[in-house]
Amino acid sequence: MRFLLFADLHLDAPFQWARPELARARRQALRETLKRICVVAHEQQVDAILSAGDLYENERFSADTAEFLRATFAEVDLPVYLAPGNHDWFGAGSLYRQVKWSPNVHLFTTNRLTPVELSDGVTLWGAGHLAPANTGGFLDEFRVDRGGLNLALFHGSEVGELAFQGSDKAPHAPFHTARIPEAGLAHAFVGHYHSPRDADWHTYPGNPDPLSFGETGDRAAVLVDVGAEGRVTRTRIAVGVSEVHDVDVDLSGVTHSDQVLDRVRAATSGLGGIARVTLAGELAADVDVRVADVANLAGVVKLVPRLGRISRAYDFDAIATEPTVRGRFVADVLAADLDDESRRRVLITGLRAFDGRAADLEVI
Amino acid sequence: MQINWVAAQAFGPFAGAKLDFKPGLNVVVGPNESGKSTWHAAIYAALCGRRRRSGSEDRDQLFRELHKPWNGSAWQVGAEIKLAAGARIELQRELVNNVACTAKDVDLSIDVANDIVFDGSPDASVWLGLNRRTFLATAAVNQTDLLRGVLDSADKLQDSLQRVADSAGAADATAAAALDLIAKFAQEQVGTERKGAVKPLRRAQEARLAAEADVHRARELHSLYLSLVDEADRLRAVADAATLNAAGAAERLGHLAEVERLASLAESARLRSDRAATLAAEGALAISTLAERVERITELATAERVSSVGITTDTRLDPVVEELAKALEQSVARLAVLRGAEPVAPEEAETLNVALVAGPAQLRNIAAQLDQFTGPGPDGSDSSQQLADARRVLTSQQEATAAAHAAFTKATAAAQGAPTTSGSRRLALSIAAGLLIVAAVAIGAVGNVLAGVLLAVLASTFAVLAIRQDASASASASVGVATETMQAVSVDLVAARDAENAAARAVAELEGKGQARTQERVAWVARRDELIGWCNARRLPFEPSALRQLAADVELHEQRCTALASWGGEVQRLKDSIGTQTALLSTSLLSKGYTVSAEPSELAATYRTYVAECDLNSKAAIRTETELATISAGADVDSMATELARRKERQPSLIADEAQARKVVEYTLAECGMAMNAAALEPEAEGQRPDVAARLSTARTSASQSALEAAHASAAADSAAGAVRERASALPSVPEAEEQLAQSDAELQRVLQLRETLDRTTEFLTAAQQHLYRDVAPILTKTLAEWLPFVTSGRYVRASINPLDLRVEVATRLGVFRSAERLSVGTREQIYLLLRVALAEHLTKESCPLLLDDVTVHADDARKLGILQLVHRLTEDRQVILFAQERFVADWARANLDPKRDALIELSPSTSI
Repeated sequence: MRFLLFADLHLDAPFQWARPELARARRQALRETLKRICVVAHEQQVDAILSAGDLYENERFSADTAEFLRATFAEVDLPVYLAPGNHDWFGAGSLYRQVKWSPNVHLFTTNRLTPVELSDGVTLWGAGHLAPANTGGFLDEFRVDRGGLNLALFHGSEVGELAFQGSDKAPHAPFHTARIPEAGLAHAFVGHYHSPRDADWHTYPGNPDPLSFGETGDRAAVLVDVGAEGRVTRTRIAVGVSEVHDVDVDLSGVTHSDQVLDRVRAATSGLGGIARVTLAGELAADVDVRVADVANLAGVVKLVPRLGRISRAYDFDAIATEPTVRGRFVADVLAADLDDESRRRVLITGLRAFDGRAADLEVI
Repeated sequence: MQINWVAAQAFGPFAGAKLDFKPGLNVVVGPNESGKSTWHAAIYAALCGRRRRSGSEDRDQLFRELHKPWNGSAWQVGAEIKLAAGARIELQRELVNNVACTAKDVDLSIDVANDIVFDGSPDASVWLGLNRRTFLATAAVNQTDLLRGVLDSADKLQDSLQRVADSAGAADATAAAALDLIAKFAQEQVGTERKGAVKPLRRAQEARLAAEADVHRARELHSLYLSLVDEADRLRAVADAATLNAAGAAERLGHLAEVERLASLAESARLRSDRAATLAAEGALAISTLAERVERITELATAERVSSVGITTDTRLDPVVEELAKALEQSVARLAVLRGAEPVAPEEAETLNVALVAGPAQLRNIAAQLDQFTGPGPDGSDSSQQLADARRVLTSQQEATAAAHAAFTKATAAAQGAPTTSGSRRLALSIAAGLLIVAAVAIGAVGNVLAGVLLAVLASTFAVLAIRQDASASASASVGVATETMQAVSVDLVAARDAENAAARAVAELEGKGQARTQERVAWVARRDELIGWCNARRLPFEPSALRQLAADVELHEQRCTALASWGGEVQRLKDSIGTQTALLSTSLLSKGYTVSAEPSELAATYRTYVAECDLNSKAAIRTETELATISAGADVDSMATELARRKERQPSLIADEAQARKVVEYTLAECGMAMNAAALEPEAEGQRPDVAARLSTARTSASQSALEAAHASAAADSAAGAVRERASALPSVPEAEEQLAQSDAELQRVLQLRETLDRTTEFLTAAQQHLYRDVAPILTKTLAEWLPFVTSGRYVRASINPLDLRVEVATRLGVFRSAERLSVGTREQIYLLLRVALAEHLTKESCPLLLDDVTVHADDARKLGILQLVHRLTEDRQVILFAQERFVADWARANLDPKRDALIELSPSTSI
C-alpha cells in the first residue's frame, strides 16, 4: 500500500519573530502546504493520507481554519486518517468535533489504539491525544489482536530520540521504538518531533513547512510504500511553500550604515522567501547599525534581522590604560562583574557619550 | 621625550625645510603667513602620523586639505626624537598612502615602528602613553585653550582641566557632559514609569499591558468559543439522539402502517382473486354465447336474398326510378295544364302592319312632333308695332338733335358776339337727358328694347325741355354770360346726339328681330308639312292621339305574338321531357326485370307494381334485421367474431390471473405475518389478529411526540451552531494577539535594557570620574603649590583642588582660600599653564614636549613676560616649543635664552614659504 504521511503542520501557529503581515503570510503558507500535500497525494496515487498529529493548534484555531480543513479534505477524494496530537488534542470544543467531516475522513478519537482495516490483511491502528498534556504512551501494554500487516499512526515521543530533538520538546505519549515490534506492529507513523527521522520501526516526517529558523533536515511529506512483509520504503517529497534561510552577515570593516545594508544585500542576493539575517563582526565605533533598516530593505526575500556578536572598533584595552576618566571608566567596566553583552553595551554607550553622540547612545 | 629636529621634505608650502630644536625652550617666531602653523602640523605629523583604516574621519580629511604639498606628488615629513631612556628615533613618514612609515633607532639601526602602531600606523606618542588622538590635547596648548580655560567664564578653568583629565582630548565631551548627555538621552529615549508619562518606557509598558490584555481577551474569547463549540456538540448529540428516537418511533409506526397496509392489501388481493375467478367464468360463458350468435348471424348473412312476392329484391325504392317516375308524372300534369291555357292569337290588319313596320317608338315620336304644330305658328304683329314706335322716337330724336344743333350754332354766334347765357336748370335737364339716353342704350343692349326705347323718348323730352329752357334763358341772358350759355348748349347738343344714336340703335335692333321672326315662321310651316307628308305617305293618321293609339296597338300585337311563341315552346319542351323520362323510366324498370310499355300510363302502372314489391321486400328485410339485431345486440358479425377471438385469446390469461391472484393473496398474507413479527405484534388472543388500529394510533402519538422533541433538540442545536458561527465571525486571532504581545514585549525589553545600560553607564562613569579626580587632584595641588608663590609673587602660597570637580582654590599666607577664578587674568593664565603641564606629566609616561602655539598673542607685555618667564622655568625639566609672532617675544628670547639649551628660530614669509 502507499501512503502520504505528514505531521506537525501547526496551522494557526503564532510567529512571534515576524511582523504582523509576515506572520499572516506564514500562516497562509501552512495552508498552502496542506493543499500541496493533497495534490501530491493525488499525483502519487496513494491509498490514503496520514496525519500524525498537531495538524493545527487548539488554543488558536479559527472557524475559518475549521472550514478550510473540512473543505480541503472533502475535496481530496482519498481516505484521510487523522490522529490528534497534543496541540490539536481531541476534546471539548476541539476543531475536530466542530467540523462535519466528509466520509473520506477518519478521525481517531480515543487514546487507545483502535483498528481500521485498510484492505485485506492490512490494519491501521490509530489513537489521539484527548488532552494537551499527560497523555500516556499508546504502545504501553498494547498488542495487536490480529494477523496480517499492522501499522500505527499516532503523535508521540520516541524516548531514545528526545535528546536529539531539543530541550523544548516535552515527552508527550512517550514510547520506546522497541515496543513497536513487540506490539506486533510492522511500523509506526509518528508526529511530534519536528526534525525528520526515518528509523527502522518508525518514521517522523517532521514539520512539512518551516515553523522557525534553523530547522535542519528535509521539510517534506513522506511517501510511504509498505510491502506485504511490512517492509517500508520512504521517499520525502517537498511540499512546503516557504523558503526560509539563515544568513550570517559579517560586518567587519564597515565604516558607515550604507555598507551594512550593502553587505546584507550581497549576502541575501538570489534568495527568496524569508531570511533571518544575523549581523555580526567588528565595525567602526561610529557606524549606525539599525535593525529596522535591515528589516525594511526592499527585495525578493523578506528579512528578519537580528544582532549577533557585534564588536565595536574601540580598543578597550588601550583606552583602559589612559590615566583619564575615560580610561578609568573603561578599565572599571572591563573589570566589572558583567555579562559580555551588558559590558559591551555599557562600554560603547559611555564612549559614545564621551564622543558627544547624543542621538546614538543606544547600543544594539 | 624631546624633539631634536623636524624636516618637512614635502609638506604644505615647504620642500626640504628643516627645524632643529634644543632640549629647553625653543621659540619659533615669525609674522603671520610665515609657516608657524604648518611647522606645528609637521611636528605633529612627524611624531604621530596619520591613522590607516578604511574610511576616513573628518579630521583626517581636513588635515589632508590643509597640509598636502603645494607642489609635487610626494608628501613626506620626518623627525628625530630622543626618548627618556636615551634612544634616538628617526621617524620618516610618507603621508600619501601612509604606508612607508618608519621609526628607526638611530643608534641600533633597527626599525621599531611596530612597537608603536596605533590605528594602523606608527605613533611616537605611544611612548608617552598617549596616541595621536590624545597627544595634541595633552601636549599642545594654543591660544584658544588658554582663552577658554582662563577668560571665557569662571567655570572654564575647571572645565578645561576636566576636559584634559577626563579623556586627554580623545573625546569631545567631558565626563560631566557625557553624564549629562546620558541623562538627557535617558529622559527622552526611556523616560519614567510614572502614570501619564509619554516617553518610550511608559509607552512600551502600556503597549505591552494592552497587548497582554488583548492576548488575554483573545484567549478568553477563544476559550469561550471552544465552550460554545462543545455546547453545540452536546446539543447536536442530544438532537441526534432525539432524531434517532424519533426515527425509531417513526420506524415502529412504519411497521404498524405496513402491517395495516399489508392487511389491506391482503383483503384487496382476496377481492381481486374472487373477481378474477368471476371474470374467468364470465369469459367462458361469453365465448359460448358469442360462438352461437356468430354462427346464426353467419347463417342469416349468407342466406340468399330472393323476394318471395315479386320480381325485384329491392327493399326500398330505387331513388332514380322514384325520381324518374315523379318527374314523368309532373311533366304529364304540366302538359295538361299548358294545353288548357293556350294564349289568344294576335289580330291581323293592314294599318297595323304599316304601324308594326314603323314601330311604336317612331309613332310616338311623330305624334310628339305633331303636338308642336297644332297652333297657328309664330306671329310678328307685336314686333311691327314696336318697330313703328321706335322709328317715331328716332324721328323725334333727330328733330331734337337738329334743334340742339341750331341752338348750339346760335349760342356759338352769341358767344362770339355776345355773351351766352346759361342756367343751372338747363344744365340739369341736359344732364338728365344724357343719363336717360345712356340708360336706354344699356337696357336695350341687355335685350329689353322696349324699355330702352321708352327711356330714349324720355331722354328726348328732357333734351327738348333743356333746349327750350336754353332758348328762354338766352333771351334773358345777359351778354356777360354768352360764353357760359354756349357751353351749356354744347352739352345739350351732345346729349341730343347721344339720344338720337340710342334711338337709332333701338330701331335697328327691332328691325333685326322682325327679320328673325319671319324666318322662324317659314321654318315652322315647312316642318309641319313634312310631318304630315310622312303620315300621309304611310296612310297613317296625322293626329297625334291616333298615332299614339296606333303605337299601343302595335305593342299589344307584339306581346300576343311573344306569348303564343313562348307557350308553344313550353309545350314542346314538356313533350320532349316526357319522352325522355318515359325512356329512362322504362329502361330502369326493365333493368329490374319488369316488362314495360312506351305508354306513360302503362309505364306508371308498372312503376306502381315496382313500388308495391319494394314495400313487401322491405318488410321482410326488417324482420331479418330485427332478428340479427336481437342476436348481435347492436354489433356486426365481424366485431362479434373479433370479440369472440379476443375473448378466446384472453381466456387463458384470465385463468392465469385467477391463479396469480390466489398466489398474491397467499404472499400478502405471508408478508403481513412477517410485518407483524417485525412490529413485534402478537395476537391478542388465540387465533385473533392484533388490534393494529389501536396500536397504530398509539404509535402515531409516540412518533409525533418524538418528532417534536427531535425538532426542538435540532432547533436548539442549530441555535447553538449559529451562536458558534456568530462567535467565530467576531473571534480575534489568538496568534496575531500573541505576536503583537511578543512585539510589545520585545519593545519593552529593549527599553528596559536601554535603561539598564544607561544606568550602569552612568554609575561606572560617575565612579570613574570620582576616582580619577581623586587621583589627579593631589598631583595638581602639589604642582600648583610649588609654583604658586612664583607666579603670584608670594601673594598666594597654598592651593587646593577639589577632587570632586577639580575646582581650583588658592590661599594667602593667612590661609584664606579663594577661588582661582577670582585671580587676575595673567595669574590665571599662568596657573592654567602650570596645571596643563602637571596634567601632561600625569598623563604621560615620561616627560612630554610641550607645543605652545601663540599663547602670548593676546596678552599685554606684563602678562607676556610672566608667561615667558614661567615657560622658561618649566623648560628646566622638559622641552617646550613656543610659536609666537610678537617682536616682544623675539626680543625677550634674544635676551634671555641660553644658547646651550634654548633656541630662537625666526621665520620670515619670504624665506620660509
